[in-house]
Amino acid sequence: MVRALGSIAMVFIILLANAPSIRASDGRLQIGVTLHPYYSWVTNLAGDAADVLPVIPAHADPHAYQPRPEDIRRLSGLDVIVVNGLGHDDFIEPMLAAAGQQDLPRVNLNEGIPLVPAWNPDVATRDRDNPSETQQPPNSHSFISIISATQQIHHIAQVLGRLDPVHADVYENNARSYAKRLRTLLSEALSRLTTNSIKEAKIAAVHDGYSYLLQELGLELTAVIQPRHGIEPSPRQLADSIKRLKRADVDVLFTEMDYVKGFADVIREETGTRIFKLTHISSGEYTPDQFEKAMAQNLNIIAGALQQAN
Amino acid sequence: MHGVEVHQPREVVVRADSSHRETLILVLTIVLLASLMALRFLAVNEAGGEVQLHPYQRIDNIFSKEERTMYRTLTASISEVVALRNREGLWPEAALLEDEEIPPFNNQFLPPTLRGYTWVGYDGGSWIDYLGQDETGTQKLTFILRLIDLHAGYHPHPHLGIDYDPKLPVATQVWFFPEPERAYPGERLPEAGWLWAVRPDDPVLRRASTVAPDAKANTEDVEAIFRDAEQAFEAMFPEKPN
Repeated sequence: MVRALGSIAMVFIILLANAPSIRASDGRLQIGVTLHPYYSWVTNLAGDAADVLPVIPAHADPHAYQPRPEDIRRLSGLDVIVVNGLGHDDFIEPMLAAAGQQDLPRVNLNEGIPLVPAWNPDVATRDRDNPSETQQPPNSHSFISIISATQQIHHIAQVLGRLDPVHADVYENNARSYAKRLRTLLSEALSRLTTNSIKEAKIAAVHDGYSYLLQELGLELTAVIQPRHGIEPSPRQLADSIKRLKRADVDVLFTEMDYVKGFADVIREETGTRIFKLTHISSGEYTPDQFEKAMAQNLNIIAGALQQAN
Repeated sequence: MHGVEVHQPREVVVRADSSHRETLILVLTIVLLASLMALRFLAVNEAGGEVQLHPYQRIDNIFSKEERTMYRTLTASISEVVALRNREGLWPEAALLEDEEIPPFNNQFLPPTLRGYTWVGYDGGSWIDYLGQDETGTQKLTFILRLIDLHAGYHPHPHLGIDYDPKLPVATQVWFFPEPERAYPGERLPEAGWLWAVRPDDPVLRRASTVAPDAKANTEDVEAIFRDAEQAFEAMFPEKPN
Protein backbone atom coordinates (compact mmCIF):
# COMPACT_ATOMS: atom_id res chain seq x y z
CA MET A 1 0.00 0.00 0.00
CA VAL A 2 2.77 2.39 1.01
CA ARG A 3 4.71 1.47 -2.10
CA ALA A 4 1.65 2.09 -4.30
CA LEU A 5 1.10 5.50 -2.73
CA GLY A 6 4.77 6.29 -3.22
CA SER A 7 4.54 5.38 -6.91
CA ILE A 8 1.46 7.54 -7.37
CA ALA A 9 3.21 10.44 -5.63
CA MET A 10 6.28 10.04 -7.89
CA VAL A 11 4.13 10.01 -11.04
CA PHE A 12 2.36 13.10 -9.75
CA ILE A 13 5.69 14.86 -9.12
CA ILE A 14 6.99 13.98 -12.59
CA LEU A 15 3.77 15.12 -14.27
CA LEU A 16 3.89 18.40 -12.41
CA ALA A 17 7.57 18.80 -13.09
CA ASN A 18 7.07 18.36 -16.81
CA ALA A 19 4.21 20.81 -17.01
CA PRO A 20 5.04 23.87 -19.10
CA SER A 21 6.99 26.44 -17.14
CA ILE A 22 7.22 30.14 -17.53
CA ARG A 23 10.37 31.25 -19.30
CA ALA A 24 11.35 34.87 -19.44
CA SER A 25 9.74 36.31 -22.56
CA ASP A 26 12.47 38.92 -23.03
CA GLY A 27 15.15 36.22 -23.50
CA ARG A 28 17.00 37.07 -20.31
CA LEU A 29 19.17 34.29 -18.99
CA GLN A 30 17.43 32.18 -16.32
CA ILE A 31 20.05 31.13 -13.78
CA GLY A 32 19.31 28.56 -11.08
CA VAL A 33 21.26 28.45 -7.82
CA THR A 34 21.29 25.68 -5.22
CA LEU A 35 22.66 27.50 -2.16
CA HIS A 36 22.02 30.85 -0.50
CA PRO A 37 25.50 32.34 -1.06
CA TYR A 38 25.22 31.57 -4.75
CA TYR A 39 22.00 33.58 -4.93
CA SER A 40 23.78 36.64 -3.55
CA TRP A 41 26.79 36.14 -5.83
CA VAL A 42 24.82 35.70 -9.03
CA THR A 43 22.36 38.55 -8.36
CA ASN A 44 25.34 40.84 -7.79
CA LEU A 45 26.94 39.69 -11.05
CA ALA A 46 23.83 39.74 -13.17
CA GLY A 47 22.22 42.98 -12.03
CA ASP A 48 19.29 43.48 -14.40
CA ALA A 49 20.84 41.35 -17.15
CA ALA A 50 19.47 37.99 -15.98
CA ASP A 51 17.03 36.35 -13.58
CA VAL A 52 18.28 34.33 -10.63
CA LEU A 53 16.07 31.54 -9.34
CA PRO A 54 16.83 29.70 -6.11
CA VAL A 55 16.05 26.00 -6.30
CA ILE A 56 15.06 25.45 -2.69
CA PRO A 57 12.68 27.54 -0.57
CA ALA A 58 14.21 30.36 1.49
CA HIS A 59 13.95 28.71 4.87
CA ALA A 60 14.64 25.13 3.84
CA ASP A 61 17.85 23.61 5.13
CA PRO A 62 19.88 22.28 2.19
CA HIS A 63 21.27 19.53 4.43
CA ALA A 64 17.79 18.08 4.98
CA TYR A 65 15.91 19.35 1.95
CA GLN A 66 13.30 17.16 0.23
CA PRO A 67 12.29 18.33 -3.25
CA ARG A 68 8.70 19.45 -3.81
CA PRO A 69 6.88 19.24 -7.17
CA GLU A 70 6.79 23.01 -7.58
CA ASP A 71 10.57 23.22 -6.96
CA ILE A 72 11.18 20.64 -9.70
CA ARG A 73 8.83 22.44 -12.08
CA ARG A 74 10.84 25.64 -11.81
CA LEU A 75 13.94 23.87 -13.08
CA SER A 76 12.49 23.30 -16.53
CA GLY A 77 12.74 27.00 -17.34
CA LEU A 78 16.42 27.34 -16.49
CA ASP A 79 19.24 28.05 -18.94
CA VAL A 80 22.08 27.26 -16.52
CA ILE A 81 22.49 26.23 -12.90
CA VAL A 82 25.17 27.10 -10.36
CA VAL A 83 26.04 24.16 -8.09
CA ASN A 84 28.39 23.29 -5.27
CA GLY A 85 28.99 19.78 -6.57
CA LEU A 86 30.78 18.55 -3.45
CA GLY A 87 27.89 17.24 -1.39
CA HIS A 88 26.05 20.37 -0.29
CA ASP A 89 23.50 20.08 -3.06
CA ASP A 90 23.24 16.38 -3.80
CA PHE A 91 19.49 16.91 -4.15
CA ILE A 92 19.92 18.74 -7.45
CA GLU A 93 20.82 15.90 -9.84
CA PRO A 94 17.66 13.81 -9.19
CA MET A 95 15.63 17.01 -9.46
CA LEU A 96 17.18 17.89 -12.83
CA ALA A 97 16.51 14.35 -14.04
CA ALA A 98 12.87 14.60 -12.94
CA ALA A 99 12.57 17.92 -14.73
CA GLY A 100 14.06 16.51 -17.95
CA GLN A 101 17.00 18.90 -17.54
CA GLN A 102 19.84 16.37 -17.40
CA ASP A 103 21.73 18.34 -20.04
CA LEU A 104 21.32 21.73 -18.39
CA PRO A 105 24.70 23.54 -18.34
CA ARG A 106 26.15 23.52 -14.83
CA VAL A 107 28.58 25.94 -13.28
CA ASN A 108 30.30 23.59 -10.85
CA LEU A 109 31.96 25.99 -8.46
CA ASN A 110 34.34 23.54 -6.89
CA GLU A 111 35.81 22.39 -10.17
CA GLY A 112 39.08 24.03 -11.05
CA ILE A 113 39.81 25.71 -7.73
CA PRO A 114 42.21 24.60 -5.00
CA LEU A 115 40.22 23.08 -2.15
CA VAL A 116 41.04 22.78 1.51
CA PRO A 117 41.15 19.16 2.68
CA ALA A 118 38.57 18.03 5.21
CA TRP A 119 39.86 18.44 8.76
CA ASN A 120 41.81 15.46 9.98
CA PRO A 121 43.81 15.51 13.22
CA ASP A 122 46.02 12.69 11.96
CA VAL A 123 47.36 14.59 8.96
CA ALA A 124 49.62 17.10 10.63
CA THR A 125 52.60 17.31 8.35
CA ARG A 126 52.99 16.71 4.67
CA ASP A 127 55.92 15.44 2.72
CA ARG A 128 56.79 17.35 -0.44
CA ASP A 129 58.93 14.47 -1.69
CA ASN A 130 56.17 11.93 -1.35
CA PRO A 131 53.56 12.97 -3.90
CA SER A 132 51.62 9.73 -3.52
CA GLU A 133 50.46 10.71 -0.04
CA THR A 134 46.91 9.62 0.73
CA GLN A 135 44.32 12.12 -0.42
CA GLN A 136 42.06 13.76 2.12
CA PRO A 137 38.52 14.34 0.85
CA PRO A 138 37.96 18.01 0.06
CA ASN A 139 36.04 20.35 2.31
CA SER A 140 32.86 21.44 0.50
CA HIS A 141 32.45 24.79 2.32
CA SER A 142 34.44 26.87 -0.13
CA PHE A 143 31.51 29.33 -0.14
CA ILE A 144 32.21 30.39 3.47
CA SER A 145 35.28 32.33 2.45
CA ILE A 146 36.39 35.51 0.75
CA ILE A 147 39.31 34.38 -1.43
CA SER A 148 37.65 31.24 -2.78
CA ALA A 149 34.36 33.11 -3.13
CA THR A 150 35.96 35.77 -5.32
CA GLN A 151 37.55 33.09 -7.49
CA GLN A 152 34.21 31.33 -7.90
CA ILE A 153 32.43 34.63 -8.61
CA HIS A 154 34.85 35.34 -11.47
CA HIS A 155 34.31 31.82 -12.75
CA ILE A 156 30.53 32.32 -12.79
CA ALA A 157 31.00 35.62 -14.63
CA GLN A 158 33.11 33.93 -17.31
CA VAL A 159 30.57 31.15 -17.87
CA LEU A 160 27.66 33.60 -17.97
CA GLY A 161 29.63 35.75 -20.42
CA ARG A 162 30.01 32.76 -22.74
CA LEU A 163 26.30 31.88 -22.50
CA ASP A 164 25.18 35.49 -22.86
CA PRO A 165 27.93 37.36 -24.77
CA VAL A 166 25.85 40.53 -25.02
CA HIS A 167 26.18 41.02 -21.28
CA ALA A 168 29.69 39.58 -20.87
CA ASP A 169 31.13 42.99 -19.91
CA VAL A 170 28.35 43.53 -17.36
CA TYR A 171 29.13 40.22 -15.68
CA GLU A 172 32.87 40.87 -15.68
CA ASN A 173 32.64 44.43 -14.36
CA ASN A 174 30.14 43.47 -11.69
CA ALA A 175 32.33 40.53 -10.65
CA ARG A 176 35.31 42.84 -10.27
CA SER A 177 33.52 45.41 -8.14
CA TYR A 178 31.75 42.75 -6.03
CA ALA A 179 35.05 40.94 -5.42
CA LYS A 180 36.62 44.24 -4.30
CA ARG A 181 33.82 44.84 -1.81
CA LEU A 182 34.19 41.34 -0.40
CA ARG A 183 37.96 41.68 -0.08
CA THR A 184 37.50 44.90 1.84
CA LEU A 185 35.64 42.89 4.49
CA LEU A 186 38.63 40.58 4.76
CA SER A 187 41.19 43.37 5.06
CA GLU A 188 39.10 45.10 7.73
CA ALA A 189 39.04 41.92 9.81
CA LEU A 190 42.77 41.31 9.22
CA SER A 191 43.57 44.83 10.38
CA ARG A 192 42.10 43.92 13.79
CA LEU A 193 44.36 40.90 14.19
CA THR A 194 47.97 40.96 15.28
CA THR A 195 50.59 38.34 14.55
CA ASN A 196 50.58 37.35 18.22
CA SER A 197 46.82 37.08 18.52
CA ILE A 198 46.81 34.75 15.54
CA LYS A 199 49.75 32.67 16.73
CA GLU A 200 48.46 32.27 20.24
CA ALA A 201 44.84 31.59 19.34
CA LYS A 202 43.65 28.08 20.14
CA ILE A 203 40.46 27.57 18.23
CA ALA A 204 37.96 24.76 17.89
CA ALA A 205 34.78 24.54 15.83
CA VAL A 206 31.72 22.33 15.86
CA HIS A 207 32.49 21.34 12.28
CA ASP A 208 35.10 22.29 9.72
CA GLY A 209 32.87 24.46 7.55
CA TYR A 210 34.86 27.55 8.50
CA SER A 211 38.30 26.23 7.54
CA TYR A 212 38.53 28.30 4.34
CA LEU A 213 37.73 31.53 6.13
CA LEU A 214 39.92 30.80 9.15
CA GLN A 215 42.87 30.02 6.89
CA GLU A 216 42.39 33.32 5.09
CA LEU A 217 42.83 34.98 8.47
CA GLY A 218 45.92 32.90 9.22
CA LEU A 219 44.11 30.82 11.85
CA GLU A 220 44.30 27.10 12.43
CA LEU A 221 41.76 24.81 14.00
CA THR A 222 42.95 22.85 17.01
CA ALA A 223 39.90 20.59 17.13
CA VAL A 224 36.61 19.85 15.39
CA ILE A 225 33.79 18.46 17.51
CA GLN A 226 31.38 16.87 15.04
CA PRO A 227 32.66 13.59 13.59
CA ARG A 228 31.00 14.49 10.28
CA HIS A 229 29.00 17.46 9.08
CA GLY A 230 25.52 17.31 10.62
CA ILE A 231 26.33 14.31 12.82
CA GLU A 232 26.04 14.99 16.54
CA PRO A 233 28.93 13.54 18.53
CA SER A 234 28.14 10.48 20.64
CA PRO A 235 28.56 10.85 24.45
CA ARG A 236 31.93 9.13 24.16
CA GLN A 237 33.07 11.33 21.26
CA LEU A 238 31.93 14.38 23.21
CA ALA A 239 33.89 13.24 26.25
CA ASP A 240 36.97 12.73 24.06
CA SER A 241 36.52 16.17 22.53
CA ILE A 242 36.27 17.76 25.96
CA LYS A 243 39.49 16.04 26.98
CA ARG A 244 41.21 17.24 23.80
CA LEU A 245 39.97 20.81 24.24
CA LYS A 246 41.21 20.86 27.84
CA ARG A 247 44.56 19.39 26.88
CA ALA A 248 45.01 21.88 24.03
CA ASP A 249 43.84 24.73 26.25
CA VAL A 250 41.36 25.90 23.61
CA ASP A 251 40.22 29.51 24.12
CA VAL A 252 37.45 29.80 21.58
CA LEU A 253 34.82 27.44 20.20
CA PHE A 254 32.95 28.49 17.09
CA THR A 255 29.50 27.01 16.89
CA GLU A 256 26.60 27.68 14.56
CA MET A 257 24.00 30.40 14.54
CA ASP A 258 21.64 28.47 12.29
CA TYR A 259 21.50 25.25 14.28
CA VAL A 260 20.87 24.40 17.91
CA LYS A 261 23.93 22.70 19.34
CA GLY A 262 23.11 21.52 22.84
CA PHE A 263 26.46 19.82 23.19
CA ALA A 264 28.21 23.19 22.90
CA ASP A 265 26.77 24.16 26.28
CA VAL A 266 28.15 20.96 27.79
CA ILE A 267 31.56 21.84 26.38
CA ARG A 268 31.41 25.36 27.78
CA GLU A 269 30.45 24.07 31.22
CA GLU A 270 33.17 21.44 31.21
CA THR A 271 36.01 23.45 29.72
CA GLY A 272 35.22 27.11 30.29
CA THR A 273 35.86 27.71 26.59
CA ARG A 274 34.22 30.84 25.20
CA ILE A 275 31.59 30.11 22.59
CA PHE A 276 30.89 32.28 19.55
CA LYS A 277 28.27 31.65 16.90
CA LEU A 278 29.00 31.95 13.19
CA THR A 279 26.56 31.66 10.34
CA HIS A 280 26.75 28.89 7.79
CA ILE A 281 24.68 31.03 5.36
CA SER A 282 22.43 28.10 4.51
CA SER A 283 18.97 29.52 5.14
CA GLY A 284 17.01 32.76 5.45
CA GLU A 285 15.55 35.16 2.93
CA TYR A 286 17.26 35.27 -0.43
CA THR A 287 18.70 38.74 -0.82
CA PRO A 288 21.56 40.13 -2.90
CA ASP A 289 23.35 41.37 0.23
CA GLN A 290 22.81 38.29 2.42
CA PHE A 291 26.30 36.93 1.72
CA GLU A 292 28.08 40.24 2.35
CA LYS A 293 26.20 40.84 5.58
CA ALA A 294 26.73 37.29 6.81
CA MET A 295 30.45 37.34 6.02
CA ALA A 296 30.88 40.75 7.62
CA GLN A 297 29.19 39.35 10.70
CA ASN A 298 31.35 36.19 10.71
CA LEU A 299 34.56 38.16 10.27
CA ASN A 300 33.55 40.61 12.98
CA ILE A 301 32.77 37.76 15.39
CA ILE A 302 36.04 35.95 14.68
CA ALA A 303 38.15 39.10 15.08
CA GLY A 304 36.25 40.01 18.26
CA ALA A 305 36.65 36.49 19.67
CA LEU A 306 40.39 36.62 19.19
CA GLN A 307 40.66 40.05 20.73
CA GLN A 308 38.75 38.81 23.79
CA ALA A 309 40.80 35.62 24.00
CA ASN A 310 44.02 37.64 24.17
CA MET B 1 65.45 -72.48 -40.58
CA HIS B 2 67.36 -73.16 -37.52
CA GLY B 3 69.35 -70.32 -36.22
CA VAL B 4 66.57 -67.86 -36.85
CA GLU B 5 65.48 -66.21 -33.65
CA VAL B 6 62.09 -64.75 -33.45
CA HIS B 7 61.90 -61.91 -31.01
CA GLN B 8 58.67 -61.56 -29.20
CA PRO B 9 57.36 -58.05 -29.21
CA ARG B 10 58.39 -56.32 -25.99
CA GLU B 11 56.09 -54.08 -24.15
CA VAL B 12 57.65 -50.73 -23.26
CA VAL B 13 55.79 -48.35 -21.05
CA VAL B 14 56.41 -44.74 -22.02
CA ARG B 15 55.46 -42.51 -19.16
CA ALA B 16 54.14 -39.07 -19.82
CA ASP B 17 56.07 -36.11 -18.35
CA SER B 18 55.19 -35.35 -14.82
CA SER B 19 51.79 -33.70 -14.83
CA HIS B 20 53.01 -31.44 -12.00
CA ARG B 21 55.69 -29.95 -14.17
CA GLU B 22 53.32 -29.44 -17.08
CA THR B 23 50.80 -27.70 -14.86
CA LEU B 24 53.50 -25.51 -13.34
CA ILE B 25 54.71 -24.36 -16.75
CA LEU B 26 51.16 -23.68 -17.87
CA VAL B 27 50.40 -21.64 -14.75
CA LEU B 28 53.65 -19.68 -15.04
CA THR B 29 52.90 -18.93 -18.68
CA ILE B 30 49.42 -17.69 -17.82
CA VAL B 31 50.76 -15.53 -14.98
CA LEU B 32 53.42 -14.03 -17.22
CA LEU B 33 50.96 -13.31 -20.00
CA ALA B 34 48.54 -11.71 -17.53
CA SER B 35 51.36 -9.58 -16.07
CA LEU B 36 52.44 -8.43 -19.50
CA MET B 37 48.86 -7.54 -20.40
CA ALA B 38 48.49 -5.56 -17.16
CA LEU B 39 51.73 -3.70 -17.80
CA ARG B 40 50.68 -2.95 -21.34
CA PHE B 41 47.34 -1.65 -20.06
CA LEU B 42 49.11 0.65 -17.61
CA ALA B 43 51.42 1.92 -20.30
CA VAL B 44 48.54 2.65 -22.68
CA ASN B 45 46.62 4.32 -19.89
CA GLU B 46 49.47 6.65 -19.11
CA ALA B 47 47.99 9.37 -21.25
CA GLY B 48 44.43 8.47 -20.34
CA GLY B 49 42.52 7.91 -17.11
CA GLU B 50 45.39 7.17 -14.73
CA VAL B 51 46.84 10.06 -12.77
CA GLN B 52 50.49 10.27 -13.76
CA LEU B 53 52.66 12.88 -12.14
CA HIS B 54 55.73 14.08 -13.92
CA PRO B 55 58.85 14.39 -11.76
CA TYR B 56 58.33 18.16 -11.56
CA GLN B 57 54.67 17.98 -10.46
CA ARG B 58 53.27 17.73 -6.94
CA ILE B 59 49.67 17.31 -5.82
CA ASP B 60 48.68 20.46 -3.93
CA ASN B 61 47.92 18.62 -0.67
CA ILE B 62 51.58 18.95 0.24
CA PHE B 63 51.17 22.59 1.23
CA SER B 64 51.01 23.66 4.86
CA LYS B 65 47.98 25.75 5.81
CA GLU B 66 49.75 29.07 5.25
CA GLU B 67 51.27 27.92 1.97
CA ARG B 68 47.84 26.75 0.88
CA THR B 69 46.41 30.20 1.63
CA MET B 70 49.06 31.74 -0.62
CA TYR B 71 48.39 29.11 -3.29
CA ARG B 72 44.64 29.73 -3.15
CA THR B 73 45.16 33.48 -3.26
CA LEU B 74 47.45 33.20 -6.28
CA THR B 75 44.99 31.08 -8.24
CA ALA B 76 42.15 33.42 -7.25
CA SER B 77 44.06 36.35 -8.77
CA ILE B 78 44.31 34.78 -12.22
CA SER B 79 40.95 35.92 -13.62
CA GLU B 80 41.67 39.53 -12.73
CA VAL B 81 45.22 39.44 -14.09
CA VAL B 82 43.99 38.00 -17.40
CA ALA B 83 41.13 40.51 -17.54
CA LEU B 84 43.61 43.37 -17.04
CA ARG B 85 45.80 42.03 -19.83
CA ASN B 86 42.78 41.73 -22.11
CA ARG B 87 41.88 45.36 -21.39
CA GLU B 88 45.39 46.86 -21.55
CA GLY B 89 46.99 44.57 -24.14
CA LEU B 90 50.03 43.96 -21.89
CA TRP B 91 50.65 41.72 -18.94
CA PRO B 92 50.13 43.91 -15.87
CA GLU B 93 53.16 44.61 -13.71
CA ALA B 94 53.08 43.42 -10.12
CA ALA B 95 52.94 47.05 -8.95
CA LEU B 96 49.77 47.63 -10.98
CA LEU B 97 48.19 44.54 -9.43
CA GLU B 98 49.04 45.96 -6.03
CA ASP B 99 47.42 49.28 -6.97
CA GLU B 100 44.35 47.38 -8.18
CA GLU B 101 44.13 45.82 -4.70
CA ILE B 102 44.48 42.27 -5.99
CA PRO B 103 45.94 39.83 -3.47
CA PRO B 104 48.56 38.49 -2.97
CA PHE B 105 50.23 41.36 -4.85
CA ASN B 106 48.57 43.69 -2.38
CA ASN B 107 49.30 42.21 0.99
CA GLN B 108 46.59 43.95 3.04
CA PHE B 109 44.39 40.94 2.20
CA LEU B 110 46.86 38.42 3.58
CA PRO B 111 47.40 37.18 7.13
CA PRO B 112 50.44 38.80 8.80
CA THR B 113 52.68 35.76 8.34
CA LEU B 114 52.30 35.97 4.55
CA ARG B 115 52.91 39.69 4.24
CA GLY B 116 56.67 39.26 3.83
CA TYR B 117 56.26 38.26 0.19
CA THR B 118 57.25 40.76 -2.48
CA TRP B 119 56.31 40.24 -6.12
CA VAL B 120 58.10 40.96 -9.36
CA GLY B 121 56.77 40.25 -12.85
CA TYR B 122 59.07 38.79 -15.53
CA ASP B 123 57.35 39.52 -18.83
CA GLY B 124 58.24 37.09 -21.60
CA GLY B 125 55.87 38.64 -24.15
CA SER B 126 53.58 35.69 -24.66
CA TRP B 127 53.89 34.71 -21.02
CA ILE B 128 54.61 36.23 -17.65
CA ASP B 129 56.08 34.89 -14.42
CA TYR B 130 55.23 36.60 -11.14
CA LEU B 131 57.97 35.69 -8.67
CA GLY B 132 57.08 35.94 -4.99
CA GLN B 133 59.92 35.81 -2.45
CA ASP B 134 59.59 36.06 1.29
CA GLU B 135 62.36 38.45 2.20
CA THR B 136 61.63 38.07 5.90
CA GLY B 137 62.37 34.35 5.71
CA THR B 138 59.20 33.55 7.66
CA GLN B 139 57.95 31.23 4.94
CA LYS B 140 59.74 28.30 3.39
CA LEU B 141 58.68 28.64 -0.25
CA THR B 142 59.29 30.91 -3.21
CA PHE B 143 56.34 30.97 -5.61
CA ILE B 144 55.96 31.67 -9.31
CA LEU B 145 52.57 32.34 -10.83
CA ARG B 146 53.01 31.65 -14.56
CA LEU B 147 50.46 32.70 -17.16
CA ILE B 148 51.01 31.62 -20.77
CA ASP B 149 49.15 32.95 -23.80
CA LEU B 150 48.88 29.80 -25.91
CA HIS B 151 47.81 31.80 -28.96
CA ALA B 152 50.79 34.13 -29.12
CA GLY B 153 53.80 32.38 -30.58
CA TYR B 154 56.78 31.10 -28.64
CA HIS B 155 56.20 30.23 -25.01
CA PRO B 156 57.70 27.96 -22.38
CA HIS B 157 56.77 24.34 -21.73
CA PRO B 158 55.30 22.34 -20.10
CA HIS B 159 51.70 23.51 -19.99
CA LEU B 160 48.17 22.18 -20.13
CA GLY B 161 46.68 21.83 -23.59
CA ILE B 162 48.34 22.30 -26.94
CA ASP B 163 49.79 25.33 -28.68
CA TYR B 164 46.99 27.44 -30.17
CA ASP B 165 44.56 25.35 -28.13
CA PRO B 166 41.07 26.40 -29.29
CA LYS B 167 39.59 25.74 -25.86
CA LEU B 168 42.33 27.27 -23.75
CA PRO B 169 43.63 30.76 -24.55
CA VAL B 170 45.71 31.08 -21.38
CA ALA B 171 47.42 28.28 -19.46
CA THR B 172 47.98 29.05 -15.77
CA GLN B 173 50.37 27.44 -13.32
CA VAL B 174 51.65 27.86 -9.78
CA TRP B 175 55.25 26.74 -9.27
CA PHE B 176 57.22 26.71 -6.05
CA PHE B 177 60.73 26.15 -4.78
CA PRO B 178 61.44 25.09 -1.19
CA GLU B 179 63.49 28.17 -0.28
CA PRO B 180 62.09 31.54 0.81
CA GLU B 181 64.30 33.72 -1.43
CA ARG B 182 65.04 31.69 -4.54
CA ALA B 183 66.25 33.78 -7.49
CA TYR B 184 64.26 33.85 -10.73
CA PRO B 185 65.38 30.83 -12.75
CA GLY B 186 64.29 31.97 -16.22
CA GLU B 187 61.75 30.19 -18.33
CA ARG B 188 62.97 26.61 -17.80
CA LEU B 189 61.40 25.90 -14.44
CA PRO B 190 61.49 22.07 -14.37
CA GLU B 191 65.16 21.99 -15.31
CA ALA B 192 65.90 24.43 -12.48
CA GLY B 193 64.29 22.10 -9.96
CA TRP B 194 61.05 24.02 -9.48
CA LEU B 195 57.85 22.12 -8.72
CA TRP B 196 54.45 22.61 -10.30
CA ALA B 197 51.50 22.40 -7.88
CA VAL B 198 48.55 20.57 -9.43
CA ARG B 199 45.13 19.88 -7.99
CA PRO B 200 44.01 16.26 -7.61
CA ASP B 201 41.33 16.95 -10.25
CA ASP B 202 43.65 19.04 -12.39
CA PRO B 203 42.98 18.46 -16.10
CA VAL B 204 46.74 18.56 -16.71
CA LEU B 205 46.86 15.11 -15.11
CA ARG B 206 44.35 13.70 -17.58
CA ARG B 207 44.19 15.91 -20.65
CA ALA B 208 46.77 16.19 -23.35
CA SER B 209 49.53 18.52 -22.26
CA THR B 210 53.05 19.30 -23.26
CA VAL B 211 55.90 18.04 -21.09
CA ALA B 212 59.32 19.28 -20.16
CA PRO B 213 62.11 17.83 -22.34
CA ASP B 214 63.63 15.73 -19.55
CA ALA B 215 60.37 14.41 -18.14
CA LYS B 216 60.40 10.87 -19.43
CA ALA B 217 60.91 9.07 -16.14
CA ASN B 218 57.51 7.40 -16.03
CA THR B 219 57.73 6.09 -19.58
CA GLU B 220 61.23 4.78 -18.96
CA ASP B 221 60.09 2.96 -15.82
CA VAL B 222 57.37 1.11 -17.70
CA GLU B 223 59.74 0.24 -20.55
CA ALA B 224 62.28 -1.16 -18.06
CA ILE B 225 59.60 -3.38 -16.50
CA PHE B 226 58.72 -4.69 -19.96
CA ARG B 227 62.36 -5.45 -20.71
CA ASP B 228 62.82 -7.33 -17.42
CA ALA B 229 59.65 -9.34 -17.96
CA GLU B 230 60.68 -10.28 -21.49
CA GLN B 231 64.15 -11.35 -20.33
CA ALA B 232 62.65 -13.51 -17.59
CA PHE B 233 60.29 -15.07 -20.09
CA GLU B 234 63.12 -15.84 -22.50
CA ALA B 235 65.20 -17.37 -19.71
CA MET B 236 62.38 -19.73 -18.80
CA PHE B 237 61.51 -20.71 -22.35
CA PRO B 238 64.68 -20.50 -24.43
CA GLU B 239 64.16 -20.91 -28.15
CA LYS B 240 65.50 -24.30 -29.36
CA PRO B 241 67.78 -24.20 -32.44
CA ASN B 242 66.24 -25.88 -35.48
